[in-house]
Parts: sequence; structure tokens; C-alpha cells
Amino acid sequence: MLQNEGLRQVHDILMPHDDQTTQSSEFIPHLFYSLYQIRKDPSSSNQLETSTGFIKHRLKNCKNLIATNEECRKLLSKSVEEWQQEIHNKEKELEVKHKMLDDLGKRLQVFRERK
Amino acid sequence: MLNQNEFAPDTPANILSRGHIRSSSTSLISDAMSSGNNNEDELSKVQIYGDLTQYEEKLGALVKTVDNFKPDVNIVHELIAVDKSLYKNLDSFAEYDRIDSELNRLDKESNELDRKTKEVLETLSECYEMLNTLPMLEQVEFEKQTILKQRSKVNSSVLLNYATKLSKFTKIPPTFDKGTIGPNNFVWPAEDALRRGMLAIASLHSKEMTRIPGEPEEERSGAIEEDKSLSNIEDKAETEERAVSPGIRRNERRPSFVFTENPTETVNGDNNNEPDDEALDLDLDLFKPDEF
Repeated sequence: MLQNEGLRQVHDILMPHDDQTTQSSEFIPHLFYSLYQIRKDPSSSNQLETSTGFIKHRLKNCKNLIATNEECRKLLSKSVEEWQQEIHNKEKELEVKHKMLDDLGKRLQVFRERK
Repeated sequence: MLNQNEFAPDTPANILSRGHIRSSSTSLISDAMSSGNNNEDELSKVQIYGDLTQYEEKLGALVKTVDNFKPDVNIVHELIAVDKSLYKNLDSFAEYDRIDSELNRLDKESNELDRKTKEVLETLSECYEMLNTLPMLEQVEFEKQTILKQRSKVNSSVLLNYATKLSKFTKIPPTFDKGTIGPNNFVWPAEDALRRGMLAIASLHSKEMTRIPGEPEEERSGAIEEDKSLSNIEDKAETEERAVSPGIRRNERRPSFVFTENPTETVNGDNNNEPDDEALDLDLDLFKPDEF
């Protein structure tokens, strides 16, 4: 279960059945079945656009969600490796802040003992 | 219909319905462009967004070829490749979600540290300002030494004046008779006037006061005569004083203190024929209504 709301929405649209182990979509089997139907009955060839409508609808919703959700867009705009580097930098920055606060506390302790 | 949609709020339901109404991905891109180049740059870097766009294009191309009865296998292969890429990126959502949680945690921690540091710095700043308001130690020492130097150089006249002032409060003046004065705030002659009077009278009897006990009173008679002459001088002074404040009869004034040994020889000895009850009258001429 994803914690980020934007990611969860996109994920649920593309993978409505909560099957995390499956790496393939349900789009390809659906397309295969539609093509099979057309091959079986060539007169109903224009049904492919109708039958692929739900795929297009889901794709569009996903794009819209990513485009409108700033947090999600910002998160996905960088690769995992870039984010790991960013997290590393932030941790270093936090270490510096921690150290600065500790140094400040030590200096105050020195003043207190001097008093 | 599109215009109506533009005025609708950006709730998730509206976003989904808008996506349903719009039939082409170009409208989504135009929305992204309107929100700024920054958003466009970010969108171009989102891999899954590119996969979705490619998926739409390949699917449209496949439908078109099938509708034309010329299905292209290559398009199908490309579509399958895009599908794999799309779901591969979708699998990385778990990692992105973990990254997002980690970033939130770091941001929270960073904000907390910033808040603590800000609090400490603000407290230090307040302490610094409080310390600045205190006088410097050197300045305090200098002022203390200056004051001590000034104190060590007290003029004797100042000291005497101060002692004179203090002496007023050391005891109740002997002339103050509580029994004869009515209200507590009744006005009587000023303290210094009383003392001056006492001193003046005492000076008339200096020889008596400074006489050593047991010493023969050889000059006693001479002293009495001297007293009488001085009493005359005092009478004259009193007459002058009456002239300054007209309308007050001379015989209304009574000495508030008689220092002589013989009360009959007071300065008002010429008024002995007046009744005793009148002699007990208070000095009402000292009453000053302006002071009340």
C-alpha cells in the first residue's frame, strides 16, 4: 500500500487489481482478445477503437493526475538514484545542523559552568 | 462543455471527469504548458508520463492500421515494449514512495532542528540585549569611587546644617504643650521660630546657665538689671513686629515660653492687670487660612 496519495492513485488506475507480483498489464491481453475477435469476425473491425476506449481513458487519467499533482510530478521528475543522492545530501546537511546545535549547547554549558 | 469544465474546482472527481471528456493528450500538455515552463520541464523528466504518451500514440496507430485492414506487427511489438516500460516504471513506485517518506522525515527533522536553533538564538539574543542594558563593571567601580571621594569631602557647614535639620526631630520641642492646642493640625509657631526665641531668651541668661554650681551669686543683682534692659530691647523688637502686622492688638500676643525664673518679670509684665482667662488665649493670629 503506497503512502503517497498521487502515486497510489496512478498505481490503482493502471493496476486496479491489487496484485503487486504481476509485472504485466491487463491491457495487452485485452488487446490480444480484441484482435482475435476481429480476426474471427472481420466485419466488426471498427470495434477495436471501442474496445480500447477504457485503456485510453485510464492512460489519460494517469497523465492528468501526474500533470496536476505537483508533489507527485516533482517526485517522479527525478530518478531513484538522483533521489538517493539528494537524501544523502540532506542527511549530511542535517548532520551539520546537529553538530552546530551541539556545539552551541557545549558553549552554553561552558558559560554556565564559568558562572 | 470545455468552458464549463474550466470553471469547475480542481477536485479529484472533476480532474477525472475532465480527463474523460478530453479526447486528446494535447489538451493535457497545453494545460501543463499554461502552468509554466517549470512544470513542463518536470513533466518531460517523468518517465512514466512519457510512457503513457507513447502508449496512447502506439495504441492509436494500431487502431488506425487495423481499421485500414493493414495491421502492422511492428506497432504491436512497439506497443508491447512501451507496455513493459510503463509497468516497469510503475513497479518503481514503491521505491518512490519510500523516498517520499524518507524526504518527509528529513524535512520534518530539518524543520525541527531549525526551530530549536532559532529558539536558542532568540534566547541568546534576548540575553545579550539584557546584558547590554546592565552597566559596565568598570563604570560602576568608577562611579562608586567617585561617590566615596565626594563623601569623604563633606563640608563642615553642610554637616552642621544637616545636623541642625536632624535635631528638629530628635525630641518634641519643650514649648509644645499638647494640652493647650486643640486639633492635631492646629498651627503653632514654626519650629525654627520657637528655637530662635528660646536661644534668644537663653542668651539673656547665659551667665545663669553657664554658672558653676556652688559659685556665689555675686553678680546676681547685676544680671537682673541686665535682664531688664534686654527685656526692654525685646519689647521694642516686638513693637516693631506688631507694626508689620497691623490690626492685631499688642496685648493679644503672649510669649509661648517663659524662660525667666520669675514669671512676673516676663516681657508682658505690663499686662498683668488683664484677666487670667484672657491670658490663656491661644495665639490665633498664627492661624493662616491659606494653608488649609
